[in-house]
Amino acid sequence: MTRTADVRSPDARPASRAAKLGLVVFGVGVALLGAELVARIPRDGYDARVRAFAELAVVPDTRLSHRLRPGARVEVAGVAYRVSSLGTRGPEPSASPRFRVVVLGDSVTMGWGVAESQTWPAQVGRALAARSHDSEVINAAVLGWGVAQYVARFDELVPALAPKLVLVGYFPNDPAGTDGARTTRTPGSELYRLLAARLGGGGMSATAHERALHAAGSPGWRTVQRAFRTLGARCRETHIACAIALLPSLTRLPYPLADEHRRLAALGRAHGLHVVDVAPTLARREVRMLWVAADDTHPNAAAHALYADAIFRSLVAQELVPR
Amino acid sequence: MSAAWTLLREHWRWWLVPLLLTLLIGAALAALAPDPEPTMPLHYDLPTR
Repeated sequence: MTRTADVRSPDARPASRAAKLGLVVFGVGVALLGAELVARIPRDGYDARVRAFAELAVVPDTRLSHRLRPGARVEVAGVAYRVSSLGTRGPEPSASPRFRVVVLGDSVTMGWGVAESQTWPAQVGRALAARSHDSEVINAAVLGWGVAQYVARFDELVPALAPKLVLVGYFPNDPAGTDGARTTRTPGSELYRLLAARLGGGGMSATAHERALHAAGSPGWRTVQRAFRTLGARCRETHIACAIALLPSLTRLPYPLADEHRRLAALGRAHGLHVVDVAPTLARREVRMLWVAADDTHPNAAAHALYADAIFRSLVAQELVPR
Repeated sequence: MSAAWTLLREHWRWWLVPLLLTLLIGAALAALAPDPEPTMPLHYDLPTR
C-alpha cells in the first residue's frame, strides 16, 4: 500500500524560509477570504426584513429624507402594513372627528414588527374611543425618522388635519438621522464587523451611542434642543396640546438611560410640552420578553400595550383627553 | 505545472495547518464570546425605489 497523504513527495526540494513564510501567509489568507465570503452570505435577519419593507413601502423625499409610500400594502415577516394616502400607517383619516390625535415618531411608534391594531397609538386610540366616541388617532410615525423630521412632518400634516393633540414618540436614537447626517453602513470587511461585534470591539454599543447623542453640548443634544424648542413654539402658535412620550431603548434593563430621560423631560417641559416617561413602567421586566424578535429589540405587542397604558394614564392625568 | 503549484503541493502542511488553525481559532472565539448587546440600526440608509 502506498501512503500518499501526510508526506511530501520523495523528491520534494526543501523550501526556503521565505517560501515557508509565504505558504503560512497564503493559508491564513485563504481562511480569512473564505470566512469573509461566508460572512457576506445574506441572512434572513433584521436588516433583510427592514430592507424588504423599505423596498416596497418607503419612497425617498427631499424634505423628510424618506416617507411611507401612500397607499402601500405590504406584508413583511407575517406582519401587514397598510399606508393611507397621507403616508400614515392605518386607515384613511375620517372626515372631521371631534377629537383627533396625530402621533409622530419612528419605527417604534410606527409599530415595526407588530400588527396595526397592536401599536401603542392604536391602543391609545381604543382607550380614547371608550371615553370619547368621536375620536381618532392617526399614526404618522415612519421608521428611520428623528426629531428634526418630526418637526417637518408637524408642519406638513398638522395644519391640514387640525388635531386637538399631537403626541411624539421619542426614542433615544432620535437625535441621529437628522440634519441629513444619516448613518450609513460603512464599506469594509463583513467578517471584521461580525467578529468585532462578537468580541466587544465593534465600536459603540447601542446604549453608549444613545448616551453620546444626549451628552450636553453634543450635536445630538443640540438637535434635540432645537427640535423641542421649535415644537413648543409651533404648539403654542397653533393652540394644540403637544406631548412627548419618552420611549425606552430596549437593549437592557434596569434602564441605563434614566438620566437622559430626566433631562429630556426637563427640556420638554421647559418648552411647554407635556411629557410622559414610559421607561419606569418597565422596571421589573425581563427585557428579552419585550422584543419583537430575538434579533430585533423593537417592542413587541406586550411592550406596546405597556406603553399605551402608561401614555393614556398620563394623558388622562394631565387632562389632555376628553373626560 | 507552475513552481507555485509545485510548492503548494509539496509543502501542503505549511499552508493547510495555518488555514485550519485560523478557522478553528475564529470559530472558537465566535462561539465562546458572549452575545453582543443587540443594536437597532434604525437610521441607516433605507433602500427605496
